[in-house]
Amino acid sequence: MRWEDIVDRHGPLVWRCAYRLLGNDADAADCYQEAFAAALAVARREAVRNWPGLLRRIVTTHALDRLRQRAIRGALVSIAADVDVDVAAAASRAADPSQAAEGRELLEAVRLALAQLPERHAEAFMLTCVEGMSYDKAATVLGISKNNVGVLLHRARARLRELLAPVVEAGEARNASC
Amino acid sequence: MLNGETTQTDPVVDRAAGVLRDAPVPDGPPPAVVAAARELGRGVALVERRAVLFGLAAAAAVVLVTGLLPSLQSARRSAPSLGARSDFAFGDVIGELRKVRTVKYRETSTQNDEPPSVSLETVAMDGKFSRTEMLDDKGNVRNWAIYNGGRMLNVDPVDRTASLMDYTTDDGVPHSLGDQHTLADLLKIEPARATSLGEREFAGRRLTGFRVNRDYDKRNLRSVDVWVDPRTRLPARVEQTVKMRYPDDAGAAELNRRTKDGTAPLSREQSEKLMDSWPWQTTTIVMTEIQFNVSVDESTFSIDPPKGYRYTETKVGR
Repeated sequence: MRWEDIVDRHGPLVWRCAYRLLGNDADAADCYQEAFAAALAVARREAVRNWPGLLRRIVTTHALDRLRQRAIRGALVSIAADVDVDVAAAASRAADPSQAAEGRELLEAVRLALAQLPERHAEAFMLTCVEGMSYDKAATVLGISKNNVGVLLHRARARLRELLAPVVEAGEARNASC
Repeated sequence: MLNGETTQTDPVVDRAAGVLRDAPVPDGPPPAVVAAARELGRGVALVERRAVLFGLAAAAAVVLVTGLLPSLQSARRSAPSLGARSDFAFGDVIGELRKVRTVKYRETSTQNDEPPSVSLETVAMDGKFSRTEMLDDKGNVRNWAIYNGGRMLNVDPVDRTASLMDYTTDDGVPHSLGDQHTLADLLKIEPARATSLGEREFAGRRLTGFRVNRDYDKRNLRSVDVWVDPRTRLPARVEQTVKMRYPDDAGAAELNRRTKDGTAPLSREQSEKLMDSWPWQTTTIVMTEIQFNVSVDESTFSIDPPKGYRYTETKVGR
């Protein structure tokens, strides 16, 4: 398979994974480039059997790194400035405005929470719970056993619950009072 | 759950996963970004499956001979180069380095027989920010330079001057300057080019070494030795040596004379012979006290000049 075919076939998946986590064109585009550069380095060393799996893992890792960099800079406090305005506006037009606002707030909180997880926990969560990989596939992509995937996921979920419960409960309370 | 495997349910976490999964994603990326990604690997030969099966067998044979029994999965993940004495390859080091967000280290640079110059570097590994403080022989900061997104501020507290060099286009895009610190340069190395140096002890720490030859040409030689902490697989000491043929005073005077009095230019053969006669100039750069993922305040990379300093700004054209 030619490299150009790999980019054409799997590019949309890489873009989607990057944008979900980063929420803006510029960061997602940088992450997209980094992911393909890293994947090319792998493909020059060894044969790749599962391009979607490899690319998902690489782009997730790079996107999570960028989220952590934002957290270090404190920019996540004003993450609204980092989210593309057009996309946010489109999302709000499509639904009840108050629910859309709550959804955006939760999305921002989820991104912040992921940036606070240990890297492997965040990766395991993203690959299985968001990207929908089976434990077997996630284990292969992460280079660990299936049991370890389960352990990482359990810890990720526990920590996310701690971090996000106040946000979710506050949103539900607002909705109940409307 | 999306993948149907986990038995864990949690409305908070499931809702979080759903929000992220359903996050609106615009069409993209821009065509120019796709084109650049395609261009990355144009004409590159990707490894076919047959080759890696052979590589796996060779790697497994090497580790069995040395008495180690890693799982086949870990051998695939980081197959050591033949002859390596570590259970990880230089590619693993580069992989760990790519995950680093910030780094701080001391750099000592020595040219020929001159006294060494010492600086402290604090950088963000994304290549967009760095701060370099030059120390005097007492260890005090003599001057400093800050690189911030294509702009470089040089500050001299003795002369009380601050000068900003702006290497950005009119659209604010950086140009001309490459990596702003030596450690980030390691990320450009093709891992397969590294050879093993075995293990050595530095200040009581046992480190694993790799060498990469990065010669530009026969008159411009460069090599880097990366000594890695086997626990973290990150560099603990980096030594870079650059040897360059450079004209001495007599050689420089001869070149100037030819330029000024219009002496007929040298033939290619004559030029080669002249350059080969220049002495070697050797520069050694050693990076130590390397700390990764240090907490860095954004103000570290501020390019606002200190108050009361004489300030100049220069826009450097492309």
